[in-house]
Amino acid sequence: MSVVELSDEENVAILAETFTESLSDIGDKTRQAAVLKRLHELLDSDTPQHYIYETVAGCDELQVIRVGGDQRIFCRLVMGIPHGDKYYNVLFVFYVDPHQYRPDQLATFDDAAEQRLGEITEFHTVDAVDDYLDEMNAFTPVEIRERIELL
Amino acid sequence: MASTSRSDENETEEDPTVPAGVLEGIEDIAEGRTADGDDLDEALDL
Repeated sequence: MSVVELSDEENVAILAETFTESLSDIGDKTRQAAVLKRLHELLDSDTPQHYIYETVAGCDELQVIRVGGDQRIFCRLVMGIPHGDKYYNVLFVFYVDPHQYRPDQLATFDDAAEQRLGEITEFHTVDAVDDYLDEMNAFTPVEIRERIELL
Repeated sequence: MASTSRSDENETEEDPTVPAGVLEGIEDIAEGRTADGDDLDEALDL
């Protein structure tokens, strides 16, 4: 039997503008609600890492959350920050994809992109995480749930 | 989508491909372009 490590940290999400634009493009309220419910489940969980469906092949830092059969949230979950005084798990949410394969809309995730991802999820040198989360408009699970209830 | 292609003719590993929006999202956060409550409400048409 595997042991599940529970997290005492507070879960928050930072949403890229591109994510909300892609969420808007989905349009359909049912599909939007499914995406938000998935995010809320993760943020409200003691084991947020279990909501990661897979990592992108070739880049272990870029993760995917599955929403139903045809939607994928691209993200990165950083757990236990700041490293010296674990208080938060931060979910960086980049994009929701309808999982429709459009070759003309694909881009190469190269070394430069991986380096950029590493930079934004690096908290070793961040002393004031609270200020950072405030500046980046981090969402709590309650704030996500409020939107679900309004849909 | 998330994939890594390999050539049978050589062992060079190619970079994975992802939806272009993923890279834009990473760049957005790196540049501080994050969504606040109003942005999310607008996206959801609330």
